[in-house]
Amino acid sequence: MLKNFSGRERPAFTKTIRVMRITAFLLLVACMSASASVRSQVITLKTRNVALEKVFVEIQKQSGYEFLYSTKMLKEAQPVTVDVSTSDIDEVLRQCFKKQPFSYTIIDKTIVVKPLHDKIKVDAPIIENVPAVEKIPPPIVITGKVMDEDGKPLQGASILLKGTQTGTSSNSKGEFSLEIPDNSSKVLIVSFVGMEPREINVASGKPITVALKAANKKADDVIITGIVNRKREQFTGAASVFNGEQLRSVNNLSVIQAINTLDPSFRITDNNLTGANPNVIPNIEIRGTTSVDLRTVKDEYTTNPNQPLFIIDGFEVSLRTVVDLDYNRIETLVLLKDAASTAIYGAKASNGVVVIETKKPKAGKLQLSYNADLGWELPDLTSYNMMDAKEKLTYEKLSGFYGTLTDQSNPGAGMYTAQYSRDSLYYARWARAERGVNTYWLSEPLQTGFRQSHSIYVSGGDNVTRYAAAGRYYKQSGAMKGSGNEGWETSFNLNYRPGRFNVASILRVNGGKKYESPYGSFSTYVNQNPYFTKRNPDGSINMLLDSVGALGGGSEITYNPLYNASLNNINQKTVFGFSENLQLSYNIVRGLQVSAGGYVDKSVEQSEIFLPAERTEFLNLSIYQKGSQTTGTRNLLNYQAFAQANYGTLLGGMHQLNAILRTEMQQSSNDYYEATAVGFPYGSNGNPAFSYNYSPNSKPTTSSTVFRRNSFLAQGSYSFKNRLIADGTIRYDGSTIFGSNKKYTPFWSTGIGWNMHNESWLAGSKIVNTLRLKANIGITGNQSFGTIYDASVYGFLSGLNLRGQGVEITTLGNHNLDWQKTKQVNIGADFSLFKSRLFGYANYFIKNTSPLIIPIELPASTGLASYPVNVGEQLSHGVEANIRYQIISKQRQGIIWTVGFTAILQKMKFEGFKNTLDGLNKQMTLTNSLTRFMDGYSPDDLWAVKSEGIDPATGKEIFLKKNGKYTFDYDPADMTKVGNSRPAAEGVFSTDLVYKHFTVGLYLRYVYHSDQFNSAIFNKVENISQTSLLNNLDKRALYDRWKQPGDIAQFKGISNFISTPMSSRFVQTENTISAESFTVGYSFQGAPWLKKMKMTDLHIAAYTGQLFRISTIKAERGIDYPFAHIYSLKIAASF
Amino acid sequence: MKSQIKYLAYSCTIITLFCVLCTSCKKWLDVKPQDKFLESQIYSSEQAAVMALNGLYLQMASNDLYGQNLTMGTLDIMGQMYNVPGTTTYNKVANYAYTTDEVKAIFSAVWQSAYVTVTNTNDFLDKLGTYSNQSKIKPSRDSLMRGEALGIRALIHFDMLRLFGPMYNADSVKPSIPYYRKVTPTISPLYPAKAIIDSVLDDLRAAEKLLVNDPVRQLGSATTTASDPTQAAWINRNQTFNYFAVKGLQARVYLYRGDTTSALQAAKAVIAEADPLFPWVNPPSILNDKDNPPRVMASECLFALYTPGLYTNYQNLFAPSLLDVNILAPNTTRLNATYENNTNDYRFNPVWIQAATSNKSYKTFYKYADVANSASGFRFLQAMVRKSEMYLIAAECDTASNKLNYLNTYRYNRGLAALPAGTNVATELLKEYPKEFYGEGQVFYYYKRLKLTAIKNGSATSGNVSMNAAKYVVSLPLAETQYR
Repeated sequence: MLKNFSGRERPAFTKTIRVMRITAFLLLVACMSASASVRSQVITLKTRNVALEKVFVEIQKQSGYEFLYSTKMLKEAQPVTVDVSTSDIDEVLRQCFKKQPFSYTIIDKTIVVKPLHDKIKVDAPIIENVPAVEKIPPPIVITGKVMDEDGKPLQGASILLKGTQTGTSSNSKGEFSLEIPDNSSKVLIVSFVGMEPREINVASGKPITVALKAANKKADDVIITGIVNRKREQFTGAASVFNGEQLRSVNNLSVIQAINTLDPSFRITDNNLTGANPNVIPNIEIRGTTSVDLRTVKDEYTTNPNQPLFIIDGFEVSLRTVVDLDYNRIETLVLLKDAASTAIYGAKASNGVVVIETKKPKAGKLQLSYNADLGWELPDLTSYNMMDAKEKLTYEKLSGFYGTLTDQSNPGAGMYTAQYSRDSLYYARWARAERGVNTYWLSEPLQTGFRQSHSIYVSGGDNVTRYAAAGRYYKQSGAMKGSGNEGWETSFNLNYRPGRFNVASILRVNGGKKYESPYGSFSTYVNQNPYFTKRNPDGSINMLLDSVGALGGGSEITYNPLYNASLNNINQKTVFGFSENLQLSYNIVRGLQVSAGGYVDKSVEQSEIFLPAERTEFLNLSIYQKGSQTTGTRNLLNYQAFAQANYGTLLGGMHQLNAILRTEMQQSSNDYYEATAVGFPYGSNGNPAFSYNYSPNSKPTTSSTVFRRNSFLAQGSYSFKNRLIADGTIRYDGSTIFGSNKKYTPFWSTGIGWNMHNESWLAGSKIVNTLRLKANIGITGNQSFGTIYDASVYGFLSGLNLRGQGVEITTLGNHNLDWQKTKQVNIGADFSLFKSRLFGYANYFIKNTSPLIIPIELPASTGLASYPVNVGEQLSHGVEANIRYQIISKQRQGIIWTVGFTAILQKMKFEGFKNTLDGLNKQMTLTNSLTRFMDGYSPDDLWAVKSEGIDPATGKEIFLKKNGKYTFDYDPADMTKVGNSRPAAEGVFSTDLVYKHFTVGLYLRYVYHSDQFNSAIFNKVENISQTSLLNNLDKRALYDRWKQPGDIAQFKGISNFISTPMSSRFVQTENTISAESFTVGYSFQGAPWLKKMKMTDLHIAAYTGQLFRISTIKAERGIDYPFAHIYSLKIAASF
Repeated sequence: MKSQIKYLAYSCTIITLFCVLCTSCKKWLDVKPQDKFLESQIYSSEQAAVMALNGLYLQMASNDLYGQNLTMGTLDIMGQMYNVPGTTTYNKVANYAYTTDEVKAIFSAVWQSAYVTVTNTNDFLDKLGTYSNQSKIKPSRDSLMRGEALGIRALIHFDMLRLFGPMYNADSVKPSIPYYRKVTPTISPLYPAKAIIDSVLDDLRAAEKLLVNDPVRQLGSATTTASDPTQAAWINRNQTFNYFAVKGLQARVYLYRGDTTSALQAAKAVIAEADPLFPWVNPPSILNDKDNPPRVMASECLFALYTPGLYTNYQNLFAPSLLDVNILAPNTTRLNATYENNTNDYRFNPVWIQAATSNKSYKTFYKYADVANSASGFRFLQAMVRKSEMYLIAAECDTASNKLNYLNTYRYNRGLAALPAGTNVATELLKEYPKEFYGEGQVFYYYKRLKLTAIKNGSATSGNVSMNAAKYVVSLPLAETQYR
């Protein structure tokens, strides 16, 4: 590698570094040629016994030509004495090289200096004790030609004698000639940038012709598992590899969203409540779920038991870290899906693993790149279908809200008085509507969100020391006013590799703030009646919208939600964190490496929620309790360390063996402290100094958890002539999650594979380029349950008496709980056919979890709430496929048009529950949940009573009993499975076109046959109570409900306030097509003006996310926070 | 190749050593929670075990149980002790509207807290045995602690039976409530009331044996401050479920079952031994001490529960500054009738005051108002079993001639004149229960035991509330029935 000395007029290569690989050498020849500018002038040299190296500098200075050579080689150089003045560079060089043991070649504007016998000797980077090349027996000369697939010659291809450092490069005609010792192996490795290398047997000595194929998925060939890099050829697991460019070609704002688009098995489960809230982290699953998720609170600290494991640069991190990571720093992302690929993570692997490698500093001249990512978020309200003022009033009238004289609840003379006031209210409102009051509340808390992210990346260094620094600033305002975040992140990479040592350090420091909207839940505005005015003519906001006497007595008060929102609310979270990732490795001998590493991650989060005293919820409290301010502090500290040995060898030229031995340990702690102060004066800024006291009779909330684990891993793989492969993994895991009886448990996997394309009978096939069949099986674990103690745990009670404090059981010990294990089977094929134009993979997988850990509900008298037990199992199987086809593949002209298709089809079911979960099922019935835990049924099944629709005669709903009879009476015992929310098939159609510097991509997600419970109909069309009638409602509540006998209506009688139970009438089948991403990009690479601006590349791309969504059902999406269409722009410049 | 193998061996050794180092640190995985205790920590010393025992008392003192619901709050509202018309918050309880959500929530909380305390009690008894070798608890202390725990288990089950169980001898064979003797996810059946009483008495008998050497038999209700904090659990025994609490509860349970002979026997045993140890309230101090009146009459309490929330509850339920909607106070006419307009009654004027500073037109309840001297020994105490109840039980159960003796001794110590021979003791007892147990939750149970079909309507100046099984028997909460 080469070092660049700046401070001179132009770049000059003056020194070669000891360690150099020939491929890199040649690669640089190809790359660097571009950076030397053309200059044709007379070269004047007059030297006497000057070192050759100095002469090179002078020539370079004068001519603009650059030299490539090895310092070690130059030790043999003779002093130069010349006197020349000519514009012919060849002449100058001839003079200088006269007495030298070197020859030279001019490629473009670069002069490559080689030892005289046209053989390049390069130091091996690792192997010091390679015997020096011994006395060479009479060499044989191999000649040949290197071409691409279309038969065009390739200049600068590298030809290397296998197992040695002997090699050469091809000339402009693609020809080469290489002398090789007769006693050496007769296999040449021919490689070229962007092409797949090939091995050619030249034992015959005849001239050869080598056609190289374009490597269209270069990054794909290595699977980074976070522990070891495996060649795909020798890997039996199912893994998807994406490089950063691929991810960033889908969108520029969210890596999670990009994987969701690119891989069928990775699924973000739509969160209908939180919509596009920028501060909510997504729920993710890979290949479905493995655990029963009964969390009532779903935030980022209650671990989602179905969340995959995330690894960045070899160490486990939280999903939050992944979400906050600078997207532009991602080099590679690997999804590990099955047992063979995830068993190395043993106890945490059941939900799949996402492995991210960040960019590592590269040697070479200082490189700088800048990325600006800008995004606009436009709230998507198309799913809302709310009434306008007159519709709402008509509805209220029809529903009987304004009373009828037949009202029996208030008989007698009072009846008329009551009716008079109701009528007055109605006509007053109607008059207002006639005057034109028709307030659209939905837009009030919304805005066009804007986000920007600027990141700078600098890297450089030589072969021994390399460094990179990255910085990023981002600021985002969400689609709801006042919500958003801003923050910064810096990272410093340092890589030091003197000889056989390698030390790598990544230091990351980040900070930021997250804000929640003062407007509260979006649903408040959706529910607001259009016949109220939001503001006075002068723009001021009234606290009270309305206060009317209710029909049944009392009064109904409606506050203006804008009043609370207009106050000085604070809801924010400040985060500061740093992490250090340090790894050392040492190559003991060829093929044997030991390494060790450590990781520390510390972060502090401060949250503050201030509700000013003026808010309506404090109206009835004493001044000592008006207003509240809650401060929370969370300290997270995480240590990890590992030690590892890798060994790899090729025995007898055909048996490739690899083995790893590794041990790991981790400790993470999470401390939380929260206190609430109350009693603030009006207009205070939320500083607790203004408070009256702490919340009465409360104490600070604290929690403190420590989690530890350690593990031992052994992995081995074997490949026979790269044709047959087998691998196996054993991991022994210990963790504090499970009781002391079962602290350790083993996990394992084993797999086999067959590279059919490497078989002789397929080697020359025109059809098959790659075909690999593989199968594996293994057992992995899941630890995301929170700690389960085998001994009882006690906590302090809040009170105190004369004997002091008292404790009570907080967690009852459970000796008999077993680890939740998942057995996974994967059978799949990777293929690449028809000159690699059709490629992809397909997998069939089984994922069975047994036993499940489920907190069961027991009668209250047992004193045990949500007692975790091992019960039943969850069986799951499915198919996933990702197939791409290059319709146009003209690499030479730079035109490639690819279409792709991904799909996942998966089925799950429970078994072995018997009656153990009846209690839980009863609770599900009571809480109106659609989920049931029943043998033979899926966790995604929706349970409700079958409905036969609305009786046209009475407007009542007719139910179907289990015995097949019709009834008006709802009975929970008649509940059956009425649908399944998991799509029968889901995936993405994609098409992308590369036309020279221009790229277009379109990703369309399809969801086929997913049953959904439409809560918009349930809550806003039908299940309207006397109180919820005061909310604005869906138009269908007015138009589609039964009004009089004979109406064939979808929904029950308009004045029927009896609560509607959940029935199959609200379960609808959804088919959806949505434009997940549409991108257009252009790269200015090669444009002359770039050079003037000292830029090497400028890339501009525009994206849209969620441009449209076509669904067969009309249901409200984004209840607390609306969804948004995203438009974004990326500008990437490198210098 | 040879060197390769050598190095391979080296590095394998290093890795193996590292592994061994880690496995040998199996202890490393024994993480003790930082904000909590493991059972091994709790039961390794007497002092920590006392904390677990003390936890039972603190749980009992919570508002869900004896801190509020089972005493001054819900139970007394059900006993028609306060004026709670439709405009007030507590009206649904006073109307026995057990199917409304508010009332369901109250009894669900009572039930759950009661059985959580039972679970803690059972766990305590179980762990005391498991760790008996390591804990070095003196055998004498061990038996005191067990005795207390058994007594608490009996008390809670008995009160759950009184609340959720049937009107006793009418249908004592029907399933009523579960009885738990150990911590288990296995569901206990609902036993007939008779079987529950049997179990309660079994536990009390066992407790009595264990508490036979209770220091309370020497100390009585004398309040002392422990100079050595580790001794705190062994003094002030009237604040624990002590020997006399066991005997007193026995009397109460026997009487509930209708076994007057055994009830009398237990009551007499207590009176005989405890009379000097638990002195009657000192008249000058309750009548004249304006700053520190002993309104709870704690010196008479065989068992009083230290209730940390007592004065907060006073502020939330009884303070004259509360709005009419939220205050618990009786109708003045009713109150005067209850105390028979007798201002000499120690329990009347000192406890019922019309505050000069408030705008209340009626007297409010001061029994649980705080006193000036924060070092007063009776602060925070809530009566659980009174000596006076023993006199009332004896008066109810003894032969005719002795009945009046007990009643008059009791009356004498309440500032009331002696009643002449020939007085109908039962009628007098009916008058005394509301006077004596205001704010203590016993009156409703008393009415239920007597199966009164009409009780005085607390929310009106006159007239009765008619009572029946539907009102006397609270239905089991959903949290229990839905999972059975």
